[in-house]
Amino acid sequence: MKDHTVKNTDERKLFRPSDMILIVILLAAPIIYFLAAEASGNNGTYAEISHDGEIIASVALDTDGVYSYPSAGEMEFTVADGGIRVSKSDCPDKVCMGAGKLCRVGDTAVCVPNRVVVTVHGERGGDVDGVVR
Amino acid sequence: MAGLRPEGMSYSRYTAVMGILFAAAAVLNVLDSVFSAFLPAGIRIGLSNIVIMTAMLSMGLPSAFLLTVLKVLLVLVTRGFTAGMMSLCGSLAAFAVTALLFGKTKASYILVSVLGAVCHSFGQLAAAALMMKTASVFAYGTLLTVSSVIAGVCTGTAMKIIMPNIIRIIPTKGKVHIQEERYE
Repeated sequence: MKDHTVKNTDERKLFRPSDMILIVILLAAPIIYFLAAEASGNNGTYAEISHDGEIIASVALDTDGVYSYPSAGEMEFTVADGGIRVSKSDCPDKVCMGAGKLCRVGDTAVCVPNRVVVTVHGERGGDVDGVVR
Repeated sequence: MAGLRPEGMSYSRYTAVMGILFAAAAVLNVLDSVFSAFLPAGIRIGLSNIVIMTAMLSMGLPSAFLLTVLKVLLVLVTRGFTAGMMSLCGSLAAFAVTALLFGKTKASYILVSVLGAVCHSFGQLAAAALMMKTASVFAYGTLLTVSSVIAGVCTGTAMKIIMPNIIRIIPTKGKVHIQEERYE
């Protein structure tokens, strides 16, 4: 294999005015998306907790208390004030706990090491046990 | 290792420089963990990527790729399997984009760094989505995009400051704008 040449001069600019366009888009898009979601988001009624892609629990957000599940390991979920949060976790980075209280539809907390996802949902679709005619 | 070395660089110098670069990346990686304690959960500045990007320009693509692989292995050993897998996907995505921009365009340091950081974040989210078997992890995409842009501006600026000093330790062939210092 032949040795390759590398440039030993630094002619590259730190910043070009046209970069501002992309930076503004990359900053504005998520902020607008976030604000729009906050403004139009409805308060959820229940949270689904899933492990490895399978739903392990469905908790109504008006049933205050601390919940834990065998398949979610050392994790604890606290329901209070119409929201749910991950209150305890044995994972190293605690990203799931950092998500804070989840109360709006679509709010999500993820714990990748424990393979656990908590998502808030709106009206409970499967609440009807059966319809008798 | 002939294919890895920049032209005109001795084998021993190459080994020494690569050792220093990886050591710097390792230390910055630890420093990153320290800083992340003061930032919202899940956000890291990506300081060690300054070294990877610097290496890409000064030592060439193969050497930068070697450093990337070493960095991923370091994360795997120090921060566990999950972080290692996310680092792997994030690093590969960022490497591809950064290499393309540095190699084919005259894009500025900040632009390359910002796009690299954003790609790193989404590469990590893709890894998380695969491991979790759910796309709901992309909910973190909004926060991560904003933090990536800020982090990218920081690392890009740091790179511009460091580059002239890195160029000093690379053998000088062709046109050089930086004067060699002599100590006697």
